[in-house]
Amino acid sequence: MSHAHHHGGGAPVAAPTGAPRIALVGSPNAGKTTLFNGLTGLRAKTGNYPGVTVSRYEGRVDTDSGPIVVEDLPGTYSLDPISPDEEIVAQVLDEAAELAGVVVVVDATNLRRGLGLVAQVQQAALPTVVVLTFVDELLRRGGRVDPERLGRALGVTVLPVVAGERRGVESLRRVLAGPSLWPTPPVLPPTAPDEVVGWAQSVLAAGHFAPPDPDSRTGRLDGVLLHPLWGTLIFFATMFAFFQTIFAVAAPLQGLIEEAFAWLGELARSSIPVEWLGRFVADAILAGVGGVLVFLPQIALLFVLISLLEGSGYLSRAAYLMDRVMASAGLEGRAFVALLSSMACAIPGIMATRTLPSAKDRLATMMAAPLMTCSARLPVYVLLIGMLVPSDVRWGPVGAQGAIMFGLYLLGAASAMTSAWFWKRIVGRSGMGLPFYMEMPSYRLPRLRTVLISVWDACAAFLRKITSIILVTTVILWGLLNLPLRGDTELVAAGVDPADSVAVTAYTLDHSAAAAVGRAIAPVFEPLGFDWRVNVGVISSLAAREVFVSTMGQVAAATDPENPTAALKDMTHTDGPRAGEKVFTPPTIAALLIFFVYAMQCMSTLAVMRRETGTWRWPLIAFVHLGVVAWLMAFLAHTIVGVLT
Amino acid sequence: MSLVERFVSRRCATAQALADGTTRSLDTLPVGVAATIAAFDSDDAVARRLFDLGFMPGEPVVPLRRAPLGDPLMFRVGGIEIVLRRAEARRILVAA
Repeated sequence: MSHAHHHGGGAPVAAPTGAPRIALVGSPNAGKTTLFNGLTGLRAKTGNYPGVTVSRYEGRVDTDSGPIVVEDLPGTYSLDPISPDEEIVAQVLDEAAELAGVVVVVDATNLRRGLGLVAQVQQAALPTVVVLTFVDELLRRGGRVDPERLGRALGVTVLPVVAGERRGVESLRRVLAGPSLWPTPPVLPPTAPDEVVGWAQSVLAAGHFAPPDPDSRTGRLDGVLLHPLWGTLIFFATMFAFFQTIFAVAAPLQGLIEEAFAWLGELARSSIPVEWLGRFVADAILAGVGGVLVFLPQIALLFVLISLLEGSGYLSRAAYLMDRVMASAGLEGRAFVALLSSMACAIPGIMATRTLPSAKDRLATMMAAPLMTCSARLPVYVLLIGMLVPSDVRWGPVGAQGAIMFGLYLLGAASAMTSAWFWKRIVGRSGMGLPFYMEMPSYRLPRLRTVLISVWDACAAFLRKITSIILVTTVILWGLLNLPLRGDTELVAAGVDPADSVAVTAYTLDHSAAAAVGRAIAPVFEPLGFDWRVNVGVISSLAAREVFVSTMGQVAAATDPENPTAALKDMTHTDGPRAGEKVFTPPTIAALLIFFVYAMQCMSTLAVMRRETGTWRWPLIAFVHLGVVAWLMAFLAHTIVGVLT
Repeated sequence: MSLVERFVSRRCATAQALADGTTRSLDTLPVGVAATIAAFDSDDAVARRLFDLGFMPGEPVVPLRRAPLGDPLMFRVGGIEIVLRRAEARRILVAA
């Protein structure tokens, strides 16, 4: 589960060529990533393994004998691989010529199993060091181990390292300096199951190992948190609090950002002497970027909460509680975590599918993830629902706006599950089923550093998206909506007063390149009630869904810069069979809402899907089939609401 | 020979040989009752992975709880707590 936010976003450090390479191997939750971060000080470089979609992390460590490169391999329980992540580990160890040594990270509270992995790694006949993590927890829970004796029994160096303490990391750094000096065992340990059992037994005895008592604190907490009744209630309360926090706590911060950008926009309009340039800066750059930047608090909060839940150990419990529900769609509990992440953005959701060992589950979850209501849909929903029902309408005890919003979230989740079920059936007909297993970590206090790193990674990625694809699209769109600039002669000939800036903008917009495109595709969206301006918004939302809001904002501001919201509400069809009628009637708004529930309007998501599946086939299938479904469902909504109103 | 090939070829037909006397499958063991792992019902990638996860013959195992909807099941084995679905737990035989 830690893949979605792995390591810091430190500046890439060029790995010195020719420096010795050392690989970190260990099971998930053994503390491998914490150790890696401690060693490399976040100077990690990320990339991909050739031909596969597993991220590769490496970082430089300065030792007494010069720099070395440490590679953090994906977490694995065994070198007998059953998932793409695990195959990488065996592959890297096979290309032994490139490695100077291997560090196996073993959780001391689970030493017996860890020894099995050590035995497998030693088959590669590379210089090996074993790092024992969680020794403090082993002692706290009444167990014991003598690392030195254990090392003698294994024939390798065994180093205890406690997370957060510099001492252990420093001694490991000293050891890393000379892999050629590491002791090697005279005989390789066995790997056949019966022999491993006996071998591990004798090594553990020689290492004076006593297993820890069950963690009583975790046991007591699980007694409540996983109780059939209380556990279920607490789970739903947690999910409710999760979304309450994301929406309620973020709102004031979002308000501040909105106000700041509105103020900047005014400033640009009034202080830039060239009129069109002022409008360009205010409407294209500031409004475009600001309209999307308001989601930064929400995304940051979401990642704070997810990494708190993950760091404490509750996320694994949530996956356990939801496993049976996910099984009804043919998926497993961990897919729930991927779908939960998709509520922020489908991109971390799709990346979280890497924790699923089954390729079919990964694919089905990836196809489902874009249907979960991501935060980019939120501004679109807020805008459209605001036009559909006034904020003071109440249905019983609940506000109508909130109820519709909740309904859209529910529809998204239900559609995602249906889609996962469908795709699992399509791709899952052949091949063997993979086992489902999930280790339950002990409850631990989340580490502040880990939380901050994951939030920083998410925010940095979001800011990159804003300053690249969203900014570029907004600028292009502004050009398409406002160019060519009209000369006074043409305006006068068309009966427009060049001094009346509102009339001029309206005329320019109506004769712009974007208008031509919007009118060209009008027949496609005509049955849904969209006019050419809405079409332009829908097309522009292909860059990122939020752009729909800024596009409609630009269109409305062109009509009435003083009160764009009212202008949007009163917008009428300019041509076609519905000319003169209002555009945003209840059936059309409903159709638009439903269209945004289903349509795959996010280039970044498609690009990530391409990266994760290694082919354009799946993003293409997702784009086309969701587009068709979106149109059909929107048409249905338009018809039903049309009959009801 | 790659590492992977090496394991698959070197791993014998699991601990089936150990399964003498009466056994029952792990999914039928009542919550809170400890038992000793005896063997796997067959030798394949799933059995090998369960072994690597810590379900080693000779180890004590105890079912801790069932999820609210009856599946999956949580076990304690070899100092860890791990969740398996019934389908996987069925593969593990314990001494009755």
